Amino acid sequence: MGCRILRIVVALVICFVAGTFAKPANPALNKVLVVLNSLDQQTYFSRFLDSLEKRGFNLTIKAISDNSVSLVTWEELAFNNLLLLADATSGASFTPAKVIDFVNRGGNVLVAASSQVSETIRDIAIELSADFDEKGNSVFDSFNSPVKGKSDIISAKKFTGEHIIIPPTLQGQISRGELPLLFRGVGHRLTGKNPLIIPVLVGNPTSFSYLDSTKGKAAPLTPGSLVGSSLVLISAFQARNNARVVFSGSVDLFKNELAEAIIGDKKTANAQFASELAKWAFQEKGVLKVINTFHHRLLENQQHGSYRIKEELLYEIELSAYYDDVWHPYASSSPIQFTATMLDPYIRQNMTLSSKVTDTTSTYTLPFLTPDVYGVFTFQVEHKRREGYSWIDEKEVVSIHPFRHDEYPRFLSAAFPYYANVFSIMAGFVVLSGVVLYHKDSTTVAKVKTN
Amino acid sequence: MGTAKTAADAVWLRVVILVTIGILAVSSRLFSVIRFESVIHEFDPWFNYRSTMHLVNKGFYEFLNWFDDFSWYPLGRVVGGTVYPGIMITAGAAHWIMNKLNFPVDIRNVCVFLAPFFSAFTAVACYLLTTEIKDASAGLLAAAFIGIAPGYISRSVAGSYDNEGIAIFLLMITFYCWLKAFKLGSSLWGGLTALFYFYMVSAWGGYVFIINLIPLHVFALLLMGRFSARLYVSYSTFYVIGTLSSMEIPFVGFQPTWTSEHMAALGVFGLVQIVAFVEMIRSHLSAQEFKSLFHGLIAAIGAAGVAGVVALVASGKIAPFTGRFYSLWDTGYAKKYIPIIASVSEHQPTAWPSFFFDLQLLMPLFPAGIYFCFQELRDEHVFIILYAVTGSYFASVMVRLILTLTPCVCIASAFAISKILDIYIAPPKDIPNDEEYDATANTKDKKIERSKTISFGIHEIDTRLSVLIPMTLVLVLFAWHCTWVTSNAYSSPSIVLASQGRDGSQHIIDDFREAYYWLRQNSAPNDKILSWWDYGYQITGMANRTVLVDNNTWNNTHIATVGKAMSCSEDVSYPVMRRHDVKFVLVIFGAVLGYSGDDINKFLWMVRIGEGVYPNDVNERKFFTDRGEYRVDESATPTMKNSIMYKASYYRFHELYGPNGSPYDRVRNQAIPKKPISLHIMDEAFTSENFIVRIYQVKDLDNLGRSLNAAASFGKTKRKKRISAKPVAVGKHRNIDEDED
Repeated sequence: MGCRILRIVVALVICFVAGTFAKPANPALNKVLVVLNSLDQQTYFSRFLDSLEKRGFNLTIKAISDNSVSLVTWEELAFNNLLLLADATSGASFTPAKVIDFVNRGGNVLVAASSQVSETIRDIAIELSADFDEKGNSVFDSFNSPVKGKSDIISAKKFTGEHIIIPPTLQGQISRGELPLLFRGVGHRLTGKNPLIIPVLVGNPTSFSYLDSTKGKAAPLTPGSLVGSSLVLISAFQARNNARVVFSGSVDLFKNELAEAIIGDKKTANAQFASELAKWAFQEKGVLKVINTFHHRLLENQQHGSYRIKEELLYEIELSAYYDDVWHPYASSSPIQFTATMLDPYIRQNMTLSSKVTDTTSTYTLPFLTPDVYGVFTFQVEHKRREGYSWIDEKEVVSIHPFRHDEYPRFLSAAFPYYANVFSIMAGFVVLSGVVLYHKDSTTVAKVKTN
Repeated sequence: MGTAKTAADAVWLRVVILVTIGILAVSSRLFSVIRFESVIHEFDPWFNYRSTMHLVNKGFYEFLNWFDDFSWYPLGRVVGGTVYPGIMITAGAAHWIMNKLNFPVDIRNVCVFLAPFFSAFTAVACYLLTTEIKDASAGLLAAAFIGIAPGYISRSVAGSYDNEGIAIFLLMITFYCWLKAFKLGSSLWGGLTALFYFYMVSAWGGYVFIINLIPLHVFALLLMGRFSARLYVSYSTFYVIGTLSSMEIPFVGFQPTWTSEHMAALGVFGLVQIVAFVEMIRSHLSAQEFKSLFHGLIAAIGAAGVAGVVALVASGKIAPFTGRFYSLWDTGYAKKYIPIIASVSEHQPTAWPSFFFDLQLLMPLFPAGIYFCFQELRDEHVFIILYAVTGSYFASVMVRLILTLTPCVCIASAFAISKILDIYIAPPKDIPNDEEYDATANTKDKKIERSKTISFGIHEIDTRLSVLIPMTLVLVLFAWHCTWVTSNAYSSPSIVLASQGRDGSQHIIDDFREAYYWLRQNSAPNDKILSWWDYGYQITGMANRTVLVDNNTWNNTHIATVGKAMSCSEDVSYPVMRRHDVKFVLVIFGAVLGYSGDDINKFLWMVRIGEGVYPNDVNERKFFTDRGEYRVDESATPTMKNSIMYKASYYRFHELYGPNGSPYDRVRNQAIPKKPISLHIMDEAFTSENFIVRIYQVKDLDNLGRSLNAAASFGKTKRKKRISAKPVAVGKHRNIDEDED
């Protein structure tokens, strides 16, 4: 009995603690493994790491050379998030295969590199369609180099696309130069057309990536070089299982040094920017979840696994988005589409935001008529916009069957002549039978002919 | 009953003999149950079994409206409207009755034993029919023959729960009723004929045989000038009630009014009306008047009728014959135009040894019986002759139609043997004149001729024995042969195989059920399985999973899609599999055991059917070597080696033979290359004990958005893409930018 009370108390305490400090969408997923080149580098990142800890994350700090660490134990994640700040060195616990396995199991990773970028980081990145420039190259920008004497520190200004990873206000402040964002490190490019990765921060038109030794005094001349907006500084990757990976070409971006720097009279945006990046990477914002999907006949309120052809249905999906530490109703900036597919899409329509809104959820609905084709349909809501939200792919298999034998009209008005015909013949038959059976021919006697 | 009082005349004896024959017929079909177990056999019976379960569990109306979403994914199948429900309803009714009588019999056992029990009824029906043709002793012989003839047993062993199991009984009883009806001119029997015809329509597509044979019989009798009021009454009753009731079967629907298969019956029905009308007029007119009228009328109506039919066919009101029907006339038709029909082994033309295999002694006796029919040539004999002619033709065109010929062969042979036995067993009579008089009572003109002979019958015992002993011997041999064939050829359930060791011990090979059970236990309930259509019914029945195609080959395109998925390379097949939500790929592979009915041997049909619809993706020629051979060894073509079927079959096959062994395909008798086969779109999920069934799990799209090929080679090869090593054109970058918008 006492034991039970103790357990409840402990549970309550845990809940309380978690409720007070935990900030990720799922408070249970707050274990972060911070990997550094060596443990003494910890102080360089103290601002950033403290901010994470303040937000409720449970940090474990390890050197990359530590071989006792494993990301996955007994096929389960030992940590939910990996903060890979070891830009230059490799370790046996953090091989590309292990990190990719970690992502495939749902772990989030924030990778920061530098001009000393390790082969491990390059190998991880290439699998995710981000291709870091070779070791010994840095990003230079002679027109945006705010710190005198340090030609490799540039002030990055250019964002691409509309996404929620960096809030628009901060984006505006950075690109207008009100809050300079200092970047020192390596650039990368995005290979191919992988739709899962989006560039967050790209080079200014005057940026380029070239050998360190030139100190920005020479520019690359080969056509494939990374220059301008093809030079990606920071990119964000969201795997199909919604695990998130952020590649930052600059590990210094997260360091106290640049965060505390004063450019002219302005503070830098680095601290705020880094924490926004981490918030997205570690599922503190832009997390979508489907609370419920529901389809029913327009006049009923019950879901079935099978409907008839040409029936009026209503499809509903209840969504919730997580940001600013709580779940909100989700109102998408782009249309959410419903699709009913049987080999080919028969219905693909935009859903409308219904008036059914709760504190945390919103509902999108679509009334539609089932196709005049029977078969096994897939009702699907696939919402994959590159805005930084989690992917939504809700599928349900529903069979659409033809009319039942008793659902056809019983009597057709067009067939009334035939009904009349049938009944008149039946009546005539009865009358004729009566006449033949009971008619007595008094005049002649029928001759029975034997055959 | 004027002939000598044979033993067969005693009713109790006949009943005893018939019951014995019934028991014999049932018990000789139980080999498979005794050897293996009470299990549903082969392919189609699994569907029938599954639908029967549906009927029993959900009731008749749910069965009638059953939309099966477990087959033909994602098209689904309207089972209620595309099935002959007779056998399910029969089994369901038997199950219901027995449960009401407090015999709680499992529905599976009802299904397994249905066909053997109906074979006993078939024997009785055959007895009745032959009694109409000749007499009771011939009837008993015919019953005995049909009870053990392998041609019929092949489709009615225990576990062979298929339409034919009850259809042959219905065929016989319908014909019996028909003979009764026109002999008596009775509309009651005509109605009974129609009733059994309705049952037959509900049970088997072979009902078309009845609705063409009976009109043919009527037509032949008309041509022979044997029209009578009896014929008119019986045929009209049968046709009207039979056709109206057959239209109650949803699968048949309005077909009797517009398909060519049913037009003969309609035409004869019209003809009978005309002839009856003409007869009536003739009875009211003088001969001369009638003659001129008759000629004019016949010519006019005939011309109008032919023109009408031609016009209707040309305008599409009457459907031209279906492909399956054409293949009955031109055996090469299916191979040329409908590979899906030609690919079924039971649709192949019959090889002549199979006649002797299935009918043995009956085969030489059959013509003798037909000869005796010609000799007497009463109306019912005309029927048997027509049945024999058409039945023989169809049996020689399609292997499985030996089944419809078998009863006719049994009847004719029984006729012949009974004739011989009548002569050689019957004792000579003391008063020959009386005896002769009775024996030839129905043919009066022969009476004078016969009366010249003083004695009738065979007097010498040695003469009798010289015929009777060999006769008995061949009959015994026949029974011996039938039992042997039944036990060795027709009693294998085909889902369970058996092999015999050197010492005669039996070894059961149960790979199919092992694999299906694995699927049942290890896959999610809504996973879709891709396999060749042969295994569709078994997978839905035993594994309870959704399949893309099954043995109800109603959609050629869908089957061709599966053929394409099997015969293309991984990268081509993967989108096809994704589109159909395929989770598992199942192939049958016999090379380890020497099981020749495997998918590699059927593979060319997949290619052919696939090519029929997707000629750009599949090309049969590319599966043959330069020398035109179909090979699976080192010299197999690249297309062959890259096909999903080849890869799935031989994946890791060489590992079975160890590092130094030489992998060898025991079906194709070819050495298999030792080079490992790599698969990137699927993983091996399960391989059964003897490698017969192999199941592969199709991978999802890569979590990281790579191609599956790249994902599979991750960690195995060195990274290739490098900025410095491979400069990318500026345009490429622009593409990325465009992508973001």
